[in-house]
Amino acid sequence: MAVTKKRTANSGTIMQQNVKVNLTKEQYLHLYYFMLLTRAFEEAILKLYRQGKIVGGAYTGNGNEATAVGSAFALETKDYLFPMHRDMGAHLVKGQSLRHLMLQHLGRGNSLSKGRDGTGHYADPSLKIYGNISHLGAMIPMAAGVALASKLRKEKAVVMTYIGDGGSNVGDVHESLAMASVMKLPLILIIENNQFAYSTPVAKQKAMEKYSDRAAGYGIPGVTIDGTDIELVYKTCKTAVERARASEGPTLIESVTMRMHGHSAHDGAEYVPKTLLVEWKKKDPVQRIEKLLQDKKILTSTIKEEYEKKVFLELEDAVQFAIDSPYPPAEDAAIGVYAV
Amino acid sequence: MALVDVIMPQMGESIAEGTISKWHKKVGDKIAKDETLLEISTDKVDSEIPAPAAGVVAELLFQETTTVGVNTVIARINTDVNATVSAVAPLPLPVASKAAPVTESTPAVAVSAPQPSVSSGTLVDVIMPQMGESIAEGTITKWHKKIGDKIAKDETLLEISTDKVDSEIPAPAAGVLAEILFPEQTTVGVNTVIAKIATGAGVIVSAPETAPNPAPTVETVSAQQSITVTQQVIHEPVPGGRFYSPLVLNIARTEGVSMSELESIPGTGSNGRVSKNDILTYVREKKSGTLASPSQKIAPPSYSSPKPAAPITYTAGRVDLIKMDTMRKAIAEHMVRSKHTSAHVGSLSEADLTTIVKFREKNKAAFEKREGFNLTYTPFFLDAVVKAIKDFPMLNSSVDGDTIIVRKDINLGVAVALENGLIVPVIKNAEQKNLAGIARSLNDLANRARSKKLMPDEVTGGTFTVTNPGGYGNLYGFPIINQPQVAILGVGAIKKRPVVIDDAIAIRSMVYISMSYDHRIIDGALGGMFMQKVVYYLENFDVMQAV
Amino acid sequence: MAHITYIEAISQGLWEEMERDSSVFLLGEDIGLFGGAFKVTKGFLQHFGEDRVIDTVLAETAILGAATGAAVVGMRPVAEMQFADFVTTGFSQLVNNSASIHYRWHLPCPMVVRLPSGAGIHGGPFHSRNPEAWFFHQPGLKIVAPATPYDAKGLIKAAIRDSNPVVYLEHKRLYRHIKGEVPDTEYIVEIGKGDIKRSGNDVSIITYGSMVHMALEAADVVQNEYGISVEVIDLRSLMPLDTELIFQSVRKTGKVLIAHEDNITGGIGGEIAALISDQCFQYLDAPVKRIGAIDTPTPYCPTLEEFFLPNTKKVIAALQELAAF
Repeated sequence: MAVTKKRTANSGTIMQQNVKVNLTKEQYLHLYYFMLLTRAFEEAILKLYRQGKIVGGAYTGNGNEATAVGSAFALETKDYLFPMHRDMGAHLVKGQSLRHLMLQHLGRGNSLSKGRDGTGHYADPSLKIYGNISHLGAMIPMAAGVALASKLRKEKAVVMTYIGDGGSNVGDVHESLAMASVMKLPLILIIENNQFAYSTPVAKQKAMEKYSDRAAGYGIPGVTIDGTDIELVYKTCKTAVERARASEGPTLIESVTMRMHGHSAHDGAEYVPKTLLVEWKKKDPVQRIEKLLQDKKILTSTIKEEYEKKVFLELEDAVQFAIDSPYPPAEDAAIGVYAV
Repeated sequence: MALVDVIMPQMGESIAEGTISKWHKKVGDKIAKDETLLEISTDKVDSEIPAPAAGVVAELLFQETTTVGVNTVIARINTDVNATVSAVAPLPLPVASKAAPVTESTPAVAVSAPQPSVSSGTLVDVIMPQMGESIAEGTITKWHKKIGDKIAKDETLLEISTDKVDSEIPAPAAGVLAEILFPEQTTVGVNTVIAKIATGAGVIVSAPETAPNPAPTVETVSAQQSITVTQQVIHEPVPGGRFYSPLVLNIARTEGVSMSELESIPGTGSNGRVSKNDILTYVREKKSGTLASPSQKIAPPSYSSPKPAAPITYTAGRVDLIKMDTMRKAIAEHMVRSKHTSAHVGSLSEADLTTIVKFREKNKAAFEKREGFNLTYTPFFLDAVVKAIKDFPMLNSSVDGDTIIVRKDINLGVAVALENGLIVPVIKNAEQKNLAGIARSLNDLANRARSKKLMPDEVTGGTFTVTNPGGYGNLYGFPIINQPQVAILGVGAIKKRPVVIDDAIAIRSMVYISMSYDHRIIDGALGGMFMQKVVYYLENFDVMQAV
Repeated sequence: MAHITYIEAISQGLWEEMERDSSVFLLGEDIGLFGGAFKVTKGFLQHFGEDRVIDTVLAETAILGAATGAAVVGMRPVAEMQFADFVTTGFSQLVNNSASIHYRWHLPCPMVVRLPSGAGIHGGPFHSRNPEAWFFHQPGLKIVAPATPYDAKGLIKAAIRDSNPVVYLEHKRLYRHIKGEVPDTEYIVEIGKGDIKRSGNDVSIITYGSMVHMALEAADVVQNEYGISVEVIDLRSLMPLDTELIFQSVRKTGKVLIAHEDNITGGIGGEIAALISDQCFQYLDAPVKRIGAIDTPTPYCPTLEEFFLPNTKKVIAALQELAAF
């Protein structure tokens, strides 16, 4: 692969951070827009939740936006996305509309799942997005299956999927990587190490130094990166995507971030040391991209205001549209178990 | 003015309530959309609640530290931009730590007293309509509204049922349902007032805390109920306790067979149950006029304990006094108890054993040479009994109170005479043995019985017993049931006798078989059929079989 | 008409569907080069190539998940579990993902899971499972359990063409013990349709899979020896059930024996009995009887296994009991 790497004694590979990225100004602004949109969408969800308008739970990826947005930005239209519940940004980058995402959260009849499941639990084959289920890790064998189909049909399409530091221990993840590595399937697995699996700190989830160390066990490349650095996330994923597209097999990427909110909106996360939050707040992904773009003289205060207004209006529209949308008729519960 | 409700959100799937910890605004304050209105605290999390809309705080319905259910309206925001809300008279806030959820948000209707009452407006009566000229009453089958519900004119208020028709009754006026005077399933006369609707502006109906009124209890049974009763009467337990399957009852109903007729039909099913075929035969014969007069119903037997025997005196005459040994005492106790327990009834039958006698004569030498013991006739009888039990498993059972325990294993007891009494060793799972197997088991058990080498579990667990009163040349005997079994079969002596076959007299080897059985569960018909099966298997013995 | 074994019928069905539709592919452990533990796919690799006959890693979750994923994007995978018992280690994929995909995502999930199932082969606790009841309880899966070569071939073809995940139970003891006529021309057996394997008037046996053969044997015996006329209903599909056929037979005979090789408690027979009591109560002339394996794991040695399993003799006894009721 094109990425510079070095082997260490007990680990997989560590990716160097000096890889060149050739993003255009427009692309940088796109990234910025999706970062703002992701942050604003999740904040809107939290507000709606506190107003009793979200049907079930509310999960956010605050702190994870750069990983979600940067990774999906490396995909093409024909590629498949299997996002997790911290990856709202990936849904958006892959083309999902705010209205659809809002309808999902509000359990409306015109949502993509027709009210049968909430949050990002939906599939949109037109955009090649296949949402997760609550069993963490359970979508990865399916993602591998889609990668297999892509390989068998010579689509040259890759599959990107995600798991958390806790979920990475589920057996499904191991079985999928065992199969995908042997078959050289076009699969990219991003382990979002956000320091906590619900309330359990990552130190109680693994004994090795880095999650990417596990890659060596499958004979595939593994890298650990700073998941708040959107450029790094993008270029790492882009490299893995190219590798997958060239039939070179799966890549394991550990993206280190911090879960800045509770596990869900009903979790106050008192178990997280305040100092940790203070430390990570300095690396807030949205502030980081703002600074990056200001440094590159791409982002002016005019553009910033314009983008913030655009995001605000789009969200207003989506929220109102979802609230005004009806629940499905009750008797719809009984139909559609089987395809006919 | 436009009022937007603020509700207590559900902060977590398992959360049922939340506590208002702090109001950030008071009534009359302006508030922006998504600006924090209050803070709440739940079992899981503390959270700030943003306002759902911009406007002026119109109502705060609960005080701080109050715990309310999720989805309860806790405040209202007036979104009218020009709204001016007087801050001087805030609503008195309930202080109860657990307030009842507020469900009615229509401003004109206030809520929450235990009894229904109407404070203003005009009351319109709803009456039981006359649904047909001959109709005198109707039954309320379903109320579509409850007290306090709003109802439009001509909207369905209730459903009624009469002898002629079932109908939905529309409301005579728009308003709020103020009174329901009769509960569902009540039958009332036509033109009776059954409900009241409050109409007009400013109607205030307070909804009762509990379900509406158990209005006057009316004893009248509705027409619908009586119909149901008529249809179901045949399902009720039958005096005498004979069981009828749903199908038999169904056929009886559709064919117009009355309960007393049904009881008169003889059953060929297990325990004399009337089977599908029995009732179909009955119906067929009844239609074709060939039905015999119904058999008399037999009164259920009554069991009364016998009086204790009077003390015996043995002063008269010359006597020997013999102390009973353990076996004798056990036999005595067992026999008396059996007579007290079971309603003994007996049947006697005879079988032509000529085929078996010839078979045995032909095979006994080879058998003895191979097996080392003599092939007697007893295994042939046991074999026939096992086969007949498979046809009539009820003979292989026990009675426990009002439960019949039908044994699936056929464990045959065989009475063996000893010097000082008798013992009944048991051939376990005789249904799994062929003739030779039964003969082997019998020989082994009988030998060890006589040499007193039986193990305890070889004399227990029997499910049916065969005894041999013919052993000393007697024609037949009247055995007593070996408890807790329900039948005992006695085999008489095999003797050549002249018998009539096809109007000719022939000399055949004949045997009488007698059986005592427990009339509590085995009637004469079943006992008789069973014995005929034994006879059948004896007379149709398969001479081709190996032994 | 060809006279072939049950296992040949399955192979033929798979082969024909793979020839017919290039989106059909096979995946499983040892199915390619080795031809499968039972040789169902012998010769397939050589003919169809390794892109369509895929030897996978030993990982049931990965196999079932991959099949699900490929199905959702339009392929028609047929996954083989080496033994039905091992489906347990991939259970989550089937019940959480495959079964609910259409309900949640409104997308078809056309996949087949082949499960070599059943006892009576001295396979012991871990090579003898009849797992149908687990899946019967999961909305979204279809389940078929053929008993004859004709049905085995017709149902594997129907399963592959179905738009839902289909659990295909193939009884190991039938593989080479049962032979039957199979038409030379193309045919399928519709999923959800049972079959009257023998017509009768006195007692109905509702059964499927290996028990169909025992039911037919027992029906012969009781007809010849006791004059009891038995109707044998082969369900063939367990989900959906052909309830109309069941009810029709019960209404005719009034007496029912439900027979399956699976453990009796919580087996499919219980659900069938409940449906009959609900829908045919007035037609019943005797209690609904069930026969199945006793409620233990499958024991290994012959005496224990024989005691554990239902057999022809036990069916005969149950039929006699019902006839005499």
